[in-house]
Amino acid sequence: MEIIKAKMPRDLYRKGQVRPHTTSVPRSRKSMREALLPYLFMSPAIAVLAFIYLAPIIFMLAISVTDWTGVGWRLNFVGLQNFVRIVTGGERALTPVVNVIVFAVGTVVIQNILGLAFALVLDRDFRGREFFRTIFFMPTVIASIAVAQMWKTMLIPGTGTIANIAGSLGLKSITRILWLGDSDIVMYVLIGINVWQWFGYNMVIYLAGLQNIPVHLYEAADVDGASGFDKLRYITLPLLGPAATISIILTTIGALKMFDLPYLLTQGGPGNATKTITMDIVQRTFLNNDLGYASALSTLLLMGIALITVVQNRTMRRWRQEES
Amino acid sequence: MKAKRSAEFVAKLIGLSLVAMIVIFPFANLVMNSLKSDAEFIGNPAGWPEHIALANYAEVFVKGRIINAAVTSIAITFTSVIIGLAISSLAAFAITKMGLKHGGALKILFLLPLLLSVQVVVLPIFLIYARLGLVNTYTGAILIYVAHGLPLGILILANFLESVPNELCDAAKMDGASPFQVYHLVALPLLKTPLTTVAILNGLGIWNDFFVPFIFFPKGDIETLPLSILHFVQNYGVRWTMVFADVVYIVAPVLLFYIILQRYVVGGVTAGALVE
Repeated sequence: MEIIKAKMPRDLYRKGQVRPHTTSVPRSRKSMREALLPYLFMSPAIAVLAFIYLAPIIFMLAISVTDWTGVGWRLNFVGLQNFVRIVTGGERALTPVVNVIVFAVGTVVIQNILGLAFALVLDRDFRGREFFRTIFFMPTVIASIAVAQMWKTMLIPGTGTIANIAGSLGLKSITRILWLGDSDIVMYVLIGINVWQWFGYNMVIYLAGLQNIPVHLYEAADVDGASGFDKLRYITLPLLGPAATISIILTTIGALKMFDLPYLLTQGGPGNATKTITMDIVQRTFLNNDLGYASALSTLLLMGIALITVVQNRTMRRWRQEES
Repeated sequence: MKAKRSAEFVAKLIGLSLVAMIVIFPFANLVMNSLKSDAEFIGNPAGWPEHIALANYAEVFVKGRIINAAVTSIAITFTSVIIGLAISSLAAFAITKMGLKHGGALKILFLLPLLLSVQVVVLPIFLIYARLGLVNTYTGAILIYVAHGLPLGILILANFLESVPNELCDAAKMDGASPFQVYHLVALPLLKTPLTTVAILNGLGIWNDFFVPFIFFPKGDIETLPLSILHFVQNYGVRWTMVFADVVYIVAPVLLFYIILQRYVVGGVTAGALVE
């Protein structure tokens, strides 16, 4: 940085890229231009965000109170009827919501426990630490389509890799399990696969959180003769609050938006056992032409995600206040 | 004491190694199976391949139009990332270094879309795209990816610029540099590290994405690498060995990238998660 500071201006003159104080712009016009210029710099970002997010959301809110099928412009205002249909829609309407909640709770709890545990183990310096970190994080960088196909073959009943291994170990009952075809267990299988792919991500967030804890706190605790458990209980865990909040929120939001994994593994089946909210939105949009319903559902999903993020920020602020 | 500690250490290593094996096994299984013939895979789906059949890779290469898909993936990823970097760095510069009074508030405003995702707005975007003829176009997908990456990009870059002393920009201004020159000649060179972070973060997400191409390229004439799998899952009935070879084509470049640039990838993802 020092180098740049020293070299910069002279360099610019030499290259002829800067004309020193030659133009004389009237003062008022100049300040007007100066005031608008930042917004000119921001305009591409604003334009793209308005086009991809703002306009569609307004459009979506408008559709959600109509019975539009997407064909032509024949549509009626139906008030909040679409929202009522979601709430009173019985099993077909509520199953995706329940599925997503089960998936969210399962992944959030397991991934955060594993992520925290491995972060604590891999925070200590020992030979091989980098190797394990690299391996555990590896599944997070690959496409969900690849994860889905990898696990699909492992889970084929009777002939898949897991059935094969179980068979050779003499565990006959395991070979017959319909991992992806039994509606009682399929959601847990999906949770397991998601945990396999993402626990390394939670681990890395917790590792970064551990890095932020000042070493002098531990040194002071050592002077006071604190045990390893005391240090974990009274220093490490409380100060991991911010990392934990982010880790939990990211996992929750990821679960709420889940589409790829269940779509690629089970198409939402068997029955509707793994259908998610996003899959329901896509299906009602593209197969049933029920745009009003799909828009209302999208609106609720958006509100759910927004609510969780607000709660996150609240918690974050509370943690910070407690820290200081 | 020492004996106890080393026993603990060995137990820890064994535990970690077991988990590492669970993580690696599906990858190893994939590669092993991708080298088997159809007949051998049905008879022996769990073991080592007896005869290594590279024919799978050749067949997938042709039928999956891998070159075509790879070029499409590279084109979409690079264009989206570069445009995203340009737009977000301009905005971040404007928020932090152009003397705006309400820069902080603007930063939060730009952060709001973090609440959203393509999934939430897929329906209205699709309808708008259908009217404007943006379905089945590169432009349509790139616009979505650029928008998706902007909030976090602006946040990371703005946070970094806030830590750069204002004198640096002021000195250039004193010497008569225009605001764009200050951005271009002072700010951009300083932003190299955070720009790399943002590029990796967004690039990985775009490269791996299935949702956007699946929804917005319904005609099937534009195919990214993740979409190439559909050839073997749908069109020919499921031919597992083809699927495996195709998945290897999809995964290999990313894994290579990850192993070589591991530190940057992990750092980028962490920065993305921890900026607040």
